[in-house]
Amino acid sequence: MNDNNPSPVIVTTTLGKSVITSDQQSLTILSEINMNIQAGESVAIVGASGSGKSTLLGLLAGLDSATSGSVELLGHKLEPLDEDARAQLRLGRVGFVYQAFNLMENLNALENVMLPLELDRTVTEIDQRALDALCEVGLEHRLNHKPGQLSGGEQQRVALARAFVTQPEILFADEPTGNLDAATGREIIERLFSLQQQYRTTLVMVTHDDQLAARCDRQLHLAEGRFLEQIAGQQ
Amino acid sequence: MNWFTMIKQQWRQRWRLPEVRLMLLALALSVTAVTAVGFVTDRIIFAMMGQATELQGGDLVLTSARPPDPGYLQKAQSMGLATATVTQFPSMVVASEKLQLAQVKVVSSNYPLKGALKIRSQSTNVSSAVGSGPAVGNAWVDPRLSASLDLLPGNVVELGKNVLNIDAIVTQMPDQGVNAFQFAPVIVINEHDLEATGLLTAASRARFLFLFAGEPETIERYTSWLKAQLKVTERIRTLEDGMPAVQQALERAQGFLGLAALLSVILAGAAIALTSHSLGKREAKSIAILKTLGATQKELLWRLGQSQMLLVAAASLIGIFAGFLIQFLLGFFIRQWIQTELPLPGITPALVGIGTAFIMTLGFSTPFLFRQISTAPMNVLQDRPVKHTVAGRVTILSALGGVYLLMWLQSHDLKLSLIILVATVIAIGLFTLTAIILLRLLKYIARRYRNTRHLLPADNARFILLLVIFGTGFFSLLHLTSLRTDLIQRWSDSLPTNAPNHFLVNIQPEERETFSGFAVNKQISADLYPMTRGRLVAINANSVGPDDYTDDRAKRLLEREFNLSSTARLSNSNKIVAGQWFSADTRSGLSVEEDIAKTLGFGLGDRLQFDIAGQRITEQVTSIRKVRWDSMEPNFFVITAPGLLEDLPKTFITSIYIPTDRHGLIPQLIDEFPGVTVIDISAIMQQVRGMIDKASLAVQSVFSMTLIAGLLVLYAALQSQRRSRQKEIAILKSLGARKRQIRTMLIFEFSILGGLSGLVAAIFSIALSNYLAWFLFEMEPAFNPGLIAFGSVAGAVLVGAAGYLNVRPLLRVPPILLLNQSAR
Ligand SMILES: Nc1ncnc2c1ncn2[C@@H]1O[C@H](COP(=O)(O)OP(=O)(O)O)[C@@H](O)[C@H]1O
Ligand SMILES: [Mg+2]
Repeated sequence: MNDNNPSPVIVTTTLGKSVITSDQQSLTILSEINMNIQAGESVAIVGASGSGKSTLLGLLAGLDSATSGSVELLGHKLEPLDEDARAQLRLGRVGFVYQAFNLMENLNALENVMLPLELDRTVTEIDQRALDALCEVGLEHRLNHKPGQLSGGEQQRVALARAFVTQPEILFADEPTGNLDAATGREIIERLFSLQQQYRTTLVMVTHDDQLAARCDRQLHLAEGRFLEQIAGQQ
Repeated sequence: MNWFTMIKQQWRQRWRLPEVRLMLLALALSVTAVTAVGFVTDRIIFAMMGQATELQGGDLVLTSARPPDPGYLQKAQSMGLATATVTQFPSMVVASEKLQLAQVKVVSSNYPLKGALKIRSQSTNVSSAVGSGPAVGNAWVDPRLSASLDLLPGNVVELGKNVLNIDAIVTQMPDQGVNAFQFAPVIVINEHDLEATGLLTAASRARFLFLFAGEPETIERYTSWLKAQLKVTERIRTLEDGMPAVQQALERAQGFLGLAALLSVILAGAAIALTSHSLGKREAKSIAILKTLGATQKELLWRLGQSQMLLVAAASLIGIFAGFLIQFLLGFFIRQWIQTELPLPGITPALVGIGTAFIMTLGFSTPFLFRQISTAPMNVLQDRPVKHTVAGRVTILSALGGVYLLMWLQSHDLKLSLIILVATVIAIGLFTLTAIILLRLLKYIARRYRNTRHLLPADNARFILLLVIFGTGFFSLLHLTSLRTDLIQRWSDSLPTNAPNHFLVNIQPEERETFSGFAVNKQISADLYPMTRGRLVAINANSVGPDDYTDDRAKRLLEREFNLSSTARLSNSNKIVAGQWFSADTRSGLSVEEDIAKTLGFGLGDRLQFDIAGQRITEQVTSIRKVRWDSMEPNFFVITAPGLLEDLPKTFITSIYIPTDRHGLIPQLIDEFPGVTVIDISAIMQQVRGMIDKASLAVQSVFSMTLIAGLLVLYAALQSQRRSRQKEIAILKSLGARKRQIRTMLIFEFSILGGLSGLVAAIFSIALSNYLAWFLFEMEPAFNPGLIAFGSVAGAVLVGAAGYLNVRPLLRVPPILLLNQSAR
């Protein structure tokens, strides 16, 4: 993987986000973000807490809309799209892994993994595919357990299975090890990278763990809503 | 920091939690419901009591065989009571050469104190209410006397040495129901015309009545004063005496209203428990943090207690105010419906309201919060699921205890409360079970059709919880509907429109054959019952008299003579509750009415001795009967085995139905059987019927109160899961779900939920109302399939719409929410 890949999956130009705070003041969270992420690339967004990493990730994934500049995701400009259209764009092509797992508390592991498949009417063999995904993360024996009955590491593995079950083109991860102990965190990261390699998924990962960031192709340093510099990762 | 600012500060802190706001709402709501229902039933029951007193013409009636001391009247007037007098005696009335024995009713100018007096004068053919009796020189006759003497307004009658002008037909008089058996046709005259008749001498057989009316407390004070003055011949008559039918009607009305109130209480309880549960969850973290900072359990408990009491106080204040407001509005409408002045409500409902808030907090809310205080902080901070096995049971027990206490607070009936509590617990258990089974079944079916599974209720635990709540809610509402429409309908159906409306008394044994012939000829059905008067003199060979009893009713029963009858066939309005009815060849034994046996303290197997016209008969009690007095059939406290009264002096009695268009039958009957007394009871029946109607209206208004409570509880339940729903919708959106898909899922989920709750609720409602009908009112079971269809459809539509409307704003949630784990 390298910078010469001809097909960028994410392109931003002078992307910015500002919000109106409760005391009627305008607060700029992000500004002048220009970036270009190629298919199959893995990019780490690093920075101090509160620097705007999550906000940026949300804009890239179309979970939120920008207040200036533009985002192009999978060849589509997001600005003209409404929420439904952005959701349609994500369906089956974009996966998420969060710091807080964000599983449906009331569905069991299998049902959680089946959910993204069920939302897509064209998908078949939902059960089998969800089962396979859970086997890949080593949870075939916990199919009927609800998130509340699983450890943090296991919950994050279910989240990984849910993210990869649709074989997405892009995976967004927001501090995926933030709620886990070091050993479990390492295990999750190993699984994440191995799945990413296997499915040639583009990875955009927010982290403040330098070691973890170093495993990505590129690192983008965010400070006070701007990129400090763009450092090339290990080649 | 002074006490007030401390409270203020704490309140401000708590107020920020949405659960606290919700709990306050739910608590205030239940206080509102309870106080409003209490205020309303209070007023309605007071009003109906008032209606009942109208039947006897006053709040209190003194009767005597001798002229009572006029000092009684003066004393009453000095206490601020209104008084009136009635004197009654039989006399012949003469009009154009015709003679008829009639009951002369001499009334004072302010008669009646309570109840309607209606007359039909010459000019108009319609009855209109009047405020006082006939003027001097005038007399009113009832329709029977008018029929038998061909009297019309404008004619004159001779009464003793006086000649009076008939100026109206009296169609309704208050105290008509009392001692119906002794009644002959009636003529009403003014008290100032009495002397000129020369009819009343010291030797005359007459009844003297003093009527009193006024404030309940004054009446009560006066009654106790009067009791101390009473002479042997004087009696105080209460409602219960003369009119078992009215008494029963009132008790039933009260039962209906009590049930309605109880159900709204259960409903509110569910909401409180629900909100407290999520409040407990939310508080868990801050309590754990306080503990790690060094707060002791005792301090935490103190804080908890304080904030709970604050909640109770606030909720009570709001609830009582709102409850009073609602009853005020309801009272306004009810007054128009039943056209009766409603008395002001008492303070009790407000106290019950405060008690309710207190018990609810203690029973439904505190255990959930206490649980958090007793949990080790590490478990909470590390988000470890804690197994509350023992504590969980305590929560359930305290909630059950709370429900029971609340029911008792409403009904003052421990047994009824227990029955309803057990029924509720069983219902909840069955709801839960049904929910689990049906959800599994749905999932199984959905598996066969691809991509439909996500439309199903996503959430087992939450789905079941909601199902139980809505199920309970619908159950209450449906149950009230079926109580109102079904039970009351069945009850009035059991009083058929062609129920007997005339009693014929005094049919001589030798007239029996000819009378039966007459009845067959005129196509009226008339079962003749022999009737003999006898006095109970001994129970099991121990002689008894009024002085052996302290109970007033028992005393009166022993002073009077019983009406004894004898029949081989048990009439429909009687039901054997103990022992055996006479078999075809039994020639000995007695069947007695349940209440009288209880009052006089005898039972199955006891030997009773009666003095019948000087002859003594001793018989064993072989069966005990329950009697429906409102059946309008001749009923008796004591029935002997067939043949036992054969050789004793007796007359016959029957009740017949005469349709309004065949009223001419009565004069014919009197012509042919001059000795027979005809008593028109359709007026009494109309009054009883009116009372039942009012009772059902009252239930209806209480029902509308519960409906409002139910809807608000529904809202509260949905409100309490906004947070988790918000997160779920965000997840679905991030995974690529469109709003329309999510909307379909939500509507589907709520409709299934509502339909299922409605279905189960309808089944249970039918079961319970049948049970109650049988247990409380002794009615036959009935099945109502319409209710099942109505329950499920109404449930699906209502919950589908309410649920969707409630969560619709959440559809706007930005999925970015998932990325921001900071508390924002
Ligand atoms: N909607 C919002 N309103 C106000 N402040 C916001 C909003 N979204 C983000 N912020 C603020 O913007 C900054 C960046 O947030 P975030 O992207 O979550 O940072 P990071 O993920 O790098 O820790 C933080 O200071 C946060 O409080
Ligand atoms: Mg972040």
